[in-house]
Amino acid sequence: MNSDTAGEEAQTDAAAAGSRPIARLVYSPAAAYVLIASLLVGLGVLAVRYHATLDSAATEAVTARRLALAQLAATTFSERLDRAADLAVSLATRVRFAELVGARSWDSAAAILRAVPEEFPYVERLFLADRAGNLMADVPRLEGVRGRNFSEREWYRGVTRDWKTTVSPVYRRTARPQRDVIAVATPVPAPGTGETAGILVMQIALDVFFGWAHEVDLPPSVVLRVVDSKGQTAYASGAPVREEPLRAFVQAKHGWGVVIEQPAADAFAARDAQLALVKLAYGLMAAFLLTAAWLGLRIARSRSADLGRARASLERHGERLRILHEIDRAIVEQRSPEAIAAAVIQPLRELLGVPRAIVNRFYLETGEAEWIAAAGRRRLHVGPGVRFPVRLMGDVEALRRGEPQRIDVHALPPGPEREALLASDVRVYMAVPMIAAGELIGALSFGGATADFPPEQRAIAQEVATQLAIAISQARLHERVRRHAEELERRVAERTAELQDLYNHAPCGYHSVDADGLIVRMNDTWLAWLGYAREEVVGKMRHSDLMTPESAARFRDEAFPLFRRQGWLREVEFEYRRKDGSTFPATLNATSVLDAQGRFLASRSTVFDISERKRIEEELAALNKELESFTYSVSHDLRAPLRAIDGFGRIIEEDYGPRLDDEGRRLLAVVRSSSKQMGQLIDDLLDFSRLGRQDLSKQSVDMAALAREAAREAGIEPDLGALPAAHADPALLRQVWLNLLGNAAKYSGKRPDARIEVGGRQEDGQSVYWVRDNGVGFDMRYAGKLFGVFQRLHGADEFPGTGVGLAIVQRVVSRHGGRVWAEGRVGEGACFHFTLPKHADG
Amino acid sequence: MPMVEQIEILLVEDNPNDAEMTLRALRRNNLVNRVHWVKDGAAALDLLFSNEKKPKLVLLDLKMPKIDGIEVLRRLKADESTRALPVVVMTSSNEERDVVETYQLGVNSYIVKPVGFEAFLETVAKIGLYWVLTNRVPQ
Repeated sequence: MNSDTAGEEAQTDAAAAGSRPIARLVYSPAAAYVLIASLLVGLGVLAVRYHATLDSAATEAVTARRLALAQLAATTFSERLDRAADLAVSLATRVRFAELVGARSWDSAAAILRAVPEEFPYVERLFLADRAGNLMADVPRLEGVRGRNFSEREWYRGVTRDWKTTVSPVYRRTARPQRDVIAVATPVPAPGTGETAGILVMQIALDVFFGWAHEVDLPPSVVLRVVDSKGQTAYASGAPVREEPLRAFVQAKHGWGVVIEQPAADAFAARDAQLALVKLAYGLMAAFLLTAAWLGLRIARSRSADLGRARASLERHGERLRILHEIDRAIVEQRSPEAIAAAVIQPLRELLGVPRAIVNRFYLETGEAEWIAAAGRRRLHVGPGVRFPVRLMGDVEALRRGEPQRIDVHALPPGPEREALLASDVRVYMAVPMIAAGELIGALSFGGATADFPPEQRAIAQEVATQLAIAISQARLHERVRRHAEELERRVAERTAELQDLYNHAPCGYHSVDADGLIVRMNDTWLAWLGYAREEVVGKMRHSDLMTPESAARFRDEAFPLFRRQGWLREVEFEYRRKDGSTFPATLNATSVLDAQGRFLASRSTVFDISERKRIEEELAALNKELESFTYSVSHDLRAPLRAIDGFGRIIEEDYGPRLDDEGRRLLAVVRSSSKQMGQLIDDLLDFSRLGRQDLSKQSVDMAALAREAAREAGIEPDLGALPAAHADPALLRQVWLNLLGNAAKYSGKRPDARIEVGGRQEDGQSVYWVRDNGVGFDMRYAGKLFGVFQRLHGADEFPGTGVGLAIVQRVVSRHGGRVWAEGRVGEGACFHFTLPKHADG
Repeated sequence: MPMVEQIEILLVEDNPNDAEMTLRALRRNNLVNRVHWVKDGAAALDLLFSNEKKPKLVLLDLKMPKIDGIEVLRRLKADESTRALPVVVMTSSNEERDVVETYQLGVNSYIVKPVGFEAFLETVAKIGLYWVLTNRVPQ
């Protein structure tokens, strides 16, 4: 209550008390004495009752304010605790996290939590404990705490009582730096069973967590304290109150509470001062008795009017408290900014006695302001409304400093806003800043045709503006927190659904088996392949139950023991049996999940259906067989007639030669040489096709010795350099050397100074070999044709050959994983290179 | 049909051209009178199992109608009375699997018929001379 109004009320009392001496001085008859005496008694009683009313109203107002403040703080605090508990629960019930905890993969589970302290600064530290209260993993990770038992802690006792989320009282934690924290502990339910697999504990840093409390606007000497379930003070906004306090206590959630206290003397200072003034007034009135007597009747006449003013003032005062109380309630009920403004603006306008009052919100980044609620004599406008330049609210910098602005509409620059204001009969208005936590969030504006803004009006407006600012900023904060929590929940749900979809609709089968060998999870793909419903398999069947008896036996006797030994299986083939009894082949991959002590906990497996691959393999085998029998019959059936052509040609030559003329004999020779050539072609072609089918039998090969042997067979003596050893099929490589050396000899044979060189070197993990001659060479334009079957760069009359030799070279080398190429110039010789992968031993 | 006593070489060959060329080659070496030619495996088996006196050499083609050369070889090597009989396979097949199979059955030699006539003549002559004149068989 401010001193102006207290003084006004005191004067009213003094006026009321002054009527007794007037009666005595005017020498009135007895009736007048009786009248005046009875009036005096009546007025005396009225004065005493008024004093009592004033006392109790002021006392109640003070205590109600404290209680409202405590309620606000308790609600805010409870909501913070709930958010922290909700966060703990939403973390603990993430499927992936719970699965990891269920699998006792503490470190992997803790890894998921890594980002939490960054995202929620009040969470200073998290750790995971097993059911016995042993710390298993922590974030951030600290040395020396792992494995310690914390079952004596309040949070452990709290959470194990009924396996519900619990908030501990304040305690000094073990981890360094040792400081006071609160722990939020929540059980982690194992997926599937729902049994508690571990405990997630969030340690909450008091300083960050109580950051909001600093922003509560406390009157001087008022202390806000938050006490935990053991009565310890977790937070205090100032030094403890030593004198006899006025105290308001409100219970918060989880056994906590909020205390608002203030030395009683301070709290009631205003009331006491007011009452002291009232008493002083009585004294003054006594002194004025005689001198005021002659004014008796006049004053007596004016008495009732004064009393009326006092009543009106009291009513105004009550209305003012009601408005402030309304704002407090709005804060407690967490109404929206619009609802708070709407509840307050009309009574406020009436209290201020102005034609118009508006609550404006500022958007300083765009330089705009907007109505939240506007009240006129007849109409009430609520919700986002008219937007206008913020400069209409006066000097923004001054508003920031908390200085109310008085704006004369005639002084505004001409424009539609000015015209509108004038049209609605506003000549002068006042803008009172609304500041919360140092931030200018809006202004309360009011005004009308008159230029008179008395101090009381300003004081009321300023008080309401401050409270509105707190209420609106609280509401905005609450809205932000709620949206953030919703967003978090939505993201968790989305992520969970995404993972679930990925798991269920993967293009392969997945299942997990627990330590007892029972299948605990299986994806949709795998179930669809097998033809089972999930409930027929999960928790009921073992992996081997899905196989044919032979595969199941092989799984039990061979694959599973190997799996337990090495911890994994790769591409092991089994025959699986569908629900309808049909079977199909599939490959299995599996990995085991072990606990920290290396004990087998579970296994995870992927399964691929390979029936299609099997079918293609079988088709391919059949085709190969067909091809083989075809070449077999070619080799046999084509050779016999060729031999007959040549043989009988020869017989004609022998038996009838003398009877033929020269031309006849030449033609016969053509027939015979053609049949021989065709025989050679068939032989080469069969050799070539055999190369593709024959299995490689690789061994260590001395390439120098092999090349020397081939040279001897080809009847040439090349310059033989050092050759790297190889890991290859010696019979096939012998053919390579033979063909390359044979070619070199053939194409250089017409030169008297024919020279053939053979060499080799190692480079880049491979061995390179080459055969160089100084023969006729070739045109590089045709280099690409050299290695094709039946491709020749020379006529048969020039150099004999079938064009298969180099094709064989290429096929052998490529089957060994190498490559071939050639360089040459017409008339200058050629060089043929081939590579082989470097011999592993050398 | 000549008397069995006179047979020194039994030629089992379904292709008359090859047979004629073989006979011509043997004739040059004066071996033709001792050769008896049958056109399939069944005839060869009939002849060999119905006579006490065995030839010095069987020249066996592999690919034949009715009973093929592999089967003839199997039966000859399976029977006590014919196991010691030298069998030379003369065939157009250069397939490794035929070589392996016949050797596993106990063939005495495996010859691929050369396509060229000169080589063919030479090869047949060598075989005839070696197995009939040089080689000694148990009596």
